[in-house]
Amino acid sequence: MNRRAMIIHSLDNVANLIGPGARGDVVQCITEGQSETESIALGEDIPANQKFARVDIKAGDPITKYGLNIGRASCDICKGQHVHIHNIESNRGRGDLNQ
Amino acid sequence: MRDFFFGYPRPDGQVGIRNHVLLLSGTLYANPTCERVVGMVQNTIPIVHPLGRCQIAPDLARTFKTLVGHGLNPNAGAVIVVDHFKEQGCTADDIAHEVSQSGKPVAVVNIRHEGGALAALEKALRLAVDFNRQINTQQREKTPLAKLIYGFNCGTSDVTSGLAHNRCVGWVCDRVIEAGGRALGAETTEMMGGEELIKARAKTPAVADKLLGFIDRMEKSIMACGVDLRGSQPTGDNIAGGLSTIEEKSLGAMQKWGTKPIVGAVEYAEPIGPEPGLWLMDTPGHGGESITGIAAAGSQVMSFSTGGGHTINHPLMITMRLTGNRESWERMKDTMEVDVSDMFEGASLDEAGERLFDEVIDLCDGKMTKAEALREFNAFAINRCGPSV
Repeated sequence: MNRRAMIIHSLDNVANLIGPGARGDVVQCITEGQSETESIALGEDIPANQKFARVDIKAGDPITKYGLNIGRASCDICKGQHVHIHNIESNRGRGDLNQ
Repeated sequence: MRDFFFGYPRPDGQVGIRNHVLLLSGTLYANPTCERVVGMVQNTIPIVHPLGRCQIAPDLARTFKTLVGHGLNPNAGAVIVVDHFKEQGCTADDIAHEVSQSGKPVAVVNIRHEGGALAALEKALRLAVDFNRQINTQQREKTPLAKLIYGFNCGTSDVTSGLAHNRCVGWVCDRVIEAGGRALGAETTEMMGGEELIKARAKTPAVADKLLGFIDRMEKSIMACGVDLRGSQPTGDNIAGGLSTIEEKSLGAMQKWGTKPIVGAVEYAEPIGPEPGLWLMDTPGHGGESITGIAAAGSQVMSFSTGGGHTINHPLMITMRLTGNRESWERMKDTMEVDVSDMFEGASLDEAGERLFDEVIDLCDGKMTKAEALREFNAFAINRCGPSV
């Protein structure tokens, strides 16, 4: 199926699906204010409107959305894979790391 | 686009968009008297809560400030403060004294002094009837948007929040500010991760420092609990909606701030200054506590933007709900006012933003929200800064 996604800022390494996506779907990614789109094939099923990797991301790498840091990868993430709490984590409010 | 609304001018210069008689409870033990009056007399609104007793001084001062702020909110045309006896530092007389500075009709009902529940109820009922007859000949007058404090907040956010409805709120903030008005946001928890944006947006370094101080204080209070914030923020519904970290939630939430400079920052429930522009208040992410702080600062109308849908409705500050999530709209349309989900099908920000703006102005002119028509009062909650003792 032909799917669409939004890249909010050109520096972002994640994109947001519009609607749900299935493994193998080729997604046309639109960047705000740019006319060119980029095509990314989804590596797995992704729930409606959620994030996927725009590029290969290594464990520990920063995750960028809105052009800013929203956390770090907790494992390697391949381009087109679902990005959520199973593979990224926050850097803030981590009282657990002080224990 | 309209740069005025029709409101009720108050003697202190504020302008209300409703003309209610407020039943303001000083303590949890006076709540039933307020609720009974609201059940019996039309055009009355209850402010009831579990506080006002056995709070340490700074916490009680916060309760006092919040209650006084609601008495002063221009959507109240007259105020009846109900108390059961006397709490040092937060008596009904103290609250009424502060509220009476506004020049609007204010009265006190003290359950003990009146001779118990029945006599107190009789007095409060008579006051509510008389105050209604006293204020209901007041007419709406054409008022510049400069008199508006446009409150905004978000909750049950999901990944559509930062892409659609929060941006519409920011668009309306910009228009209100361009017309000389003030916009007031909050939610310190959802500023965590947005520090660079705050530094870039603050009008002065002092404003940025104050906001960064709020964030630091909030983060330290979380760290002091020795837990991972992730157990609480993002919330379970945020995560189900695709938000992975507090930073992602924050940057989406901050889309509500529009594009104008942040001109000032205030503590919880404090009045904001007269300068037109974007103002921010130190509140938690908790929706009820956050919008209650905003109402205490005098905001007349609130846009609450939500991904998953929300029932939130402040009793006194007119609260409209919007979403850009089509499924949430379909499930919750009896509970929400504006749908901007067509932004995912090509509707522009200008188009969707104007739809929200028009609804906000209509509400200012007197159009009811769905919750108002249903007389739902669910979001008065005072933030605390100390334990009960």
